[in-house]
Amino acid sequence: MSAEHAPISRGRRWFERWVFWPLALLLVALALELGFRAQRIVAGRPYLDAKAAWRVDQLADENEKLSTSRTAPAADSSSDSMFAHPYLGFVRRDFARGLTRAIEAMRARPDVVHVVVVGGQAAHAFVTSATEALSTELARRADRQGRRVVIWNLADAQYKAPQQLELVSYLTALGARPDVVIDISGRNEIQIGGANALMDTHPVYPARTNWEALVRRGAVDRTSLDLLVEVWNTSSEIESLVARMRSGWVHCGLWAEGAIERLEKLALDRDLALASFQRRAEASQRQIVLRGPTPPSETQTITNVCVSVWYQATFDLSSVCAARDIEFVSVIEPFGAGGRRDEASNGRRSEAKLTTGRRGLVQAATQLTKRGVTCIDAAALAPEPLSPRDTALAVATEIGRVLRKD
Amino acid sequence: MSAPEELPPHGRAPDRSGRRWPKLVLLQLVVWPLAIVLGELGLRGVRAVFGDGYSADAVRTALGDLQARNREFTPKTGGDLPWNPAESERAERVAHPYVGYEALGGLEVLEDQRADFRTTSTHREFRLAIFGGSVAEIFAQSGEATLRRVLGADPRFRGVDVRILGFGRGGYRQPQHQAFLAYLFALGLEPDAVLCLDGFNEVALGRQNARFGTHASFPSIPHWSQLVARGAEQPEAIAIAARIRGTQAELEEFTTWALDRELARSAWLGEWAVRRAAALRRETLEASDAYTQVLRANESRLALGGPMIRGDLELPVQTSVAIWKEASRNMRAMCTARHVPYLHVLQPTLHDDGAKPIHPEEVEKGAIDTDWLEGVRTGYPLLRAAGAELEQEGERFVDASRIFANVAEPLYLDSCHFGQRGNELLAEEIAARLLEVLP
Repeated sequence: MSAEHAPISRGRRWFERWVFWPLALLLVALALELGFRAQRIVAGRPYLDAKAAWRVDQLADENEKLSTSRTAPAADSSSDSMFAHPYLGFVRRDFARGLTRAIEAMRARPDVVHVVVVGGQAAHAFVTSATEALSTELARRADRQGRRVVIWNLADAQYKAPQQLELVSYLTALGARPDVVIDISGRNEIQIGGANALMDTHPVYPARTNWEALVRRGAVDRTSLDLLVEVWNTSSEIESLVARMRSGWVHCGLWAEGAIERLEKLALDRDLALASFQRRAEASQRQIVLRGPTPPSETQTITNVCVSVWYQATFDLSSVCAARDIEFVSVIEPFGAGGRRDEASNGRRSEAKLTTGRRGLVQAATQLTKRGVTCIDAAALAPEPLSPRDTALAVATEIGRVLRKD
Repeated sequence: MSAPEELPPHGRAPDRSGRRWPKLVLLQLVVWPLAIVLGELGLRGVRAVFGDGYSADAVRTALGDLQARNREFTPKTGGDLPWNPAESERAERVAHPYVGYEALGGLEVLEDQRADFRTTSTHREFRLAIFGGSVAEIFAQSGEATLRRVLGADPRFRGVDVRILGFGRGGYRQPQHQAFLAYLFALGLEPDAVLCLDGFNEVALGRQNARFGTHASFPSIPHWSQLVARGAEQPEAIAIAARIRGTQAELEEFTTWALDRELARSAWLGEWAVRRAAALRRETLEASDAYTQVLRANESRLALGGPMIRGDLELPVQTSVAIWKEASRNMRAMCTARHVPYLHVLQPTLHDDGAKPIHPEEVEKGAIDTDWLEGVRTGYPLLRAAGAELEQEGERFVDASRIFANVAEPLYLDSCHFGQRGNELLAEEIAARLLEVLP
């Protein structure tokens, strides 16, 4: 029997399969690794495990930092007193709760005289100072005797037209049926509307300072979400690559060099996507969201637009009320030179603007009266400017009088 | 006696596989194609026997629709139009102080509309403002030519330039239309007539809002939550967003591949392709729901949920109908005081029983979310009754929910949007009713 036909023993076959060939492959890999390292030394760029590990740590740290900043818990919304409302622009927490209570009460208690007061700062102050006087005045009418008068304060210091209109429309759409709606406004329309225009926001929009705080929360539109997703995906890929490197592969120069290059590319992609996302959050398209329609730029036009918004919104508010037999009174609050002298703040120019604006409002109110809207000029109720409390009482008395007359 | 067969040294039988493989290959080459052809014929036969014959065109349409729906919330009337990213950018939703949200393009268009109101033309002009959801949005475009034609034929419109101003937006529902109208009036924009075409979103999305714990008076929650939610940058939300984008990309790639490779030619492959695409679509929608939930968890309850009025969440469809009615009263009040004719039209919808003989094509396209279906089934009879009440009060109300009742041809692109033909039919009816309302 010749040697080439000699049977191969089982032990030898096992040795060849499980020891010899793996070792041979390992040696080949080792030779390649050493060759690679030698080539790098000759090229003057030696591959050093410690340096590679340091670079991996550096990239991992950057990724980690980014991840930590992204995963930081969101601001505790419960501590915020103001949030976005689809029809009013913004509401305060207490206001939102009060609104719900008012709607429930108006739906459930038709036996009570429900009075809704809307408007800005003066309306708010009016409810505080004149609730009792107004209740007494309103209860004096024959058809209301024996009925309890409840006054709902749905004014907000920063509200301005058309927020009152949107609010009353919303209330009535929800089935709330007040008996009387009192809108005390004017100052915010001129002052906030004017300030809006100066900050490149249309006067019809809510106070820019409030609106901006709610809008500038980062972009969550589709493209921005895609960018966030890209940041997320590249960041996750970096994490898994770093984990593999740290599991020992960093010592394999042949593989690790390519992996570090890949890590660097991923980190660059991630940063680019993140930069695009951040840029997008402040992109020009956000300007139109903040700005609304193009605002007027000339002083006189700004005032005219502010007056026009108040006029149009008050007329519609009156129409919505009239269609439901809700009594409506519009009160122009005292401010500027037509109001108390000590209220003329922030210099003469500001006072002049307010005074011009108020004059415009009074003229607009005259037009509204001709169209059947009940308007009261609070500044005309007394020959001399009154204190806020006295003004509120005088307004309450006048409201009682005009409603009795109606 | 023959000599015993000599065994090889290690004692194994001689290897004959070398002689067998050509036969095996030949057998495979015959058996598999035969099996495929038989299987294909078998499936087609079985489907034909059960009255559900296989149609390659239907499969192509189904894949195309799934692809289109994957790209846009509101399908276009021309389903085969290529996706235009610029258009989609304009359709991005942004926060609006008085209507909740607005399309970016809508804000830009309003600028043009304001300019249009300011310009004085040598011709007399008639501006018709159309409010509503996406059906109204599409109607303002697809129904424009018919509206112009029918109105133009009336002597009152001789020499009058009819302009259609579209204020319908995808997902809008009452009280958004009333809020939009009030906002436009406050801006000083007063059209010559107002048309409110709505109904579906009110009941379908109102029901959906309730499932997410949001009041019926608030805008559609998937639209609204995106804008007010604060958790969009949180890892959990991004992970789900990544999942949504992943499945959307997968569906896009798969449907493109399936359509390019003409998988629809085979009943087996066509069926499989539609099932797979539908499964991916389902996965996207489920992830979208999960996304909404995560955002909700990070947001103030009041900002997302709206007023928690006792009883309203338990009866969301009834509440939505009540809001629809009251908001329409407000729109009418504002219009009447300004002497602007107001026409209110209840839009038709596929799943409202008796609305239309449903064509098999529409059965496939008209898949509907269970909340939406319940909203329509419960809500439409209530809307009709509420509409009749409005009409009794003097409102010009048109119940167009049965306008396609005798139209057998397919009109619907999905459960609520209809194509060009449907819009033309509706425009004819609306134009005729509008002529009755106008002085």
